[in-house]
Amino acid sequence: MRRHLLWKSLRYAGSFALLLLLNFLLPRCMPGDPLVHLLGIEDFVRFPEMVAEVRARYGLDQSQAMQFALYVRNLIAGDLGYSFHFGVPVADLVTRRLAWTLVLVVPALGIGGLLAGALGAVAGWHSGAPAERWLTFGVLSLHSVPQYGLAMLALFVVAFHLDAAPLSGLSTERGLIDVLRHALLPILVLGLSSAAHLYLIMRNSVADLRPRPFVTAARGRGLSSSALLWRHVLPNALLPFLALFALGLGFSVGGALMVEVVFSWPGMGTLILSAVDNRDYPLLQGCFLLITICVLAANWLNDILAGIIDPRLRRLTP
Amino acid sequence: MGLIGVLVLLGAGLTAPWLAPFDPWAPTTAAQLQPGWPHVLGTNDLGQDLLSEMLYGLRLSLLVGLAAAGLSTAVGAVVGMVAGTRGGWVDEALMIVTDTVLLVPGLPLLIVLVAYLGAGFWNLILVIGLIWWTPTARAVRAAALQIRRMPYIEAARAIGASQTRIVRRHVLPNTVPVLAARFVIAVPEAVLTEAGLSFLGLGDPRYKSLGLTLHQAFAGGALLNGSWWWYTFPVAAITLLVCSVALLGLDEGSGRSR
Repeated sequence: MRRHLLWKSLRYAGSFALLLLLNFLLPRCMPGDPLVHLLGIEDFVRFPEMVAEVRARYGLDQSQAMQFALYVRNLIAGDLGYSFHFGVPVADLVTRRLAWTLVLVVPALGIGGLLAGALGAVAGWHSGAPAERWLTFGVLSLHSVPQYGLAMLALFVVAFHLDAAPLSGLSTERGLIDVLRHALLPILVLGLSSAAHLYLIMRNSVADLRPRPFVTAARGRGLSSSALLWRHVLPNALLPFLALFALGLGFSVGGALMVEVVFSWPGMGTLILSAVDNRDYPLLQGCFLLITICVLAANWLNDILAGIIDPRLRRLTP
Repeated sequence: MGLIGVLVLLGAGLTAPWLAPFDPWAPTTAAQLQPGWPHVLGTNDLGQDLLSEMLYGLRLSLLVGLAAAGLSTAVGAVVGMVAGTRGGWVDEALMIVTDTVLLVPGLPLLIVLVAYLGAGFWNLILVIGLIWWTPTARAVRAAALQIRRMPYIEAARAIGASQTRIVRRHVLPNTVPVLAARFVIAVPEAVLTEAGLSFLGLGDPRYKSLGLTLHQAFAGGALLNGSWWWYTFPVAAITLLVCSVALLGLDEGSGRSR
């Protein structure tokens, strides 16, 4: 078990180092001098001594390796740089926005995951039945609707026509109830679209397991159908489901982007977009780093959980 | 059923210039028209015919989707093949890179890349293709590993076939089913990605695309002024396209589709 964890952690460390390098190199591969963005083209041409001074201040006159070392050192100190568009440190901005995204993602995936897991298991168990085929077809169609499309349709029907939810205008001053009122629809959309994906996974793995000999044997021992499904088949189907769930949890921090855009939700997704729009590179880098860390953390958690659920996995790794 | 859907949409997309009843760029005075005659699906805020816009958009979506899926399949095939047949530290290093790319959140990375490279038709294909190759690489590597251990490969090696020959004549042809399945899965992924990027306003603004229409509808306040046709039809078109390709690939193998 310990060896297994150690090996996995090592792989993650390697991935993380690669990602850091990527994150460091991307803006440096950009055509053009970053100082042009910072100072404006006019000052950049007219005051070469100022350019040199700012370049030295940001450490951009040093070698690439030196700069990378500096970047890592600042990261460890929790310094992600300074957003020149918002005028605040990137670290502050990013963590605040992350909290808003989590308000959406955690309940959405929690509800969606439970619903999809239960429904998917039952559907897989009865795969081939007419009701199951219609359900799966419906879910597949739902899965094909792009998230932002679903969000727009939901807004159109629920907020515009039924007038049951606000169109926009979230404000923290009006308290928790107001936040909930605004969060309901985006949570619903996110939950539905992630549930569709998870449902298909669960259904397929349960349907795969159903004809296996161990199921037939258990049936032969006289176990009831429901005991068979929930006690014997489900634990085996849980592994891929859990892996995708963890992946989804990590991805959705960035993947909620579309829903956030449609609902004007002040989360990570809208932050990234505004960083792109304003060419705010420190902010962009910070967002990207944080999202990547979320994905890595979710995967790491999944590996640990998978090892606990399935003891066989601990022996598979070299 | 999936096949029929794919064929119809493919046909509609390819023959867009002949099928479209109006020039999708030509603005008319009939702005924000409800679906009716002669504008079957209505018009947008500039009075451009929505049906024609969507037909041209479908063509672009399909083009980008097919090209990007092809690129990602090719890259994945090469990486997976090299990793699977070479083994050793090459394999280990390639798999760490693959895992890393697989772990990177796709959409944010795409946005960052498009922001850096600039939006454009070819950049879109390149970027989408270079993001989605990882599942293919893993699948091909697994297949190559399996094939490499088969007795007939050993026999080929025994009669003195070179490594290149074994890979080209024996291993590669046997991974074709895997590649085909991955390609079928990659097309809707690429289509969705292109539509998503265009929806965010990061697509190529010179071409009509389904995502661009949605972007304009969203930015143009279609939700607020009740022009329901402006976004419901493009959403339906994307859904139909993705769903029919998914149905086509349903029994071809399951994979990550997002």
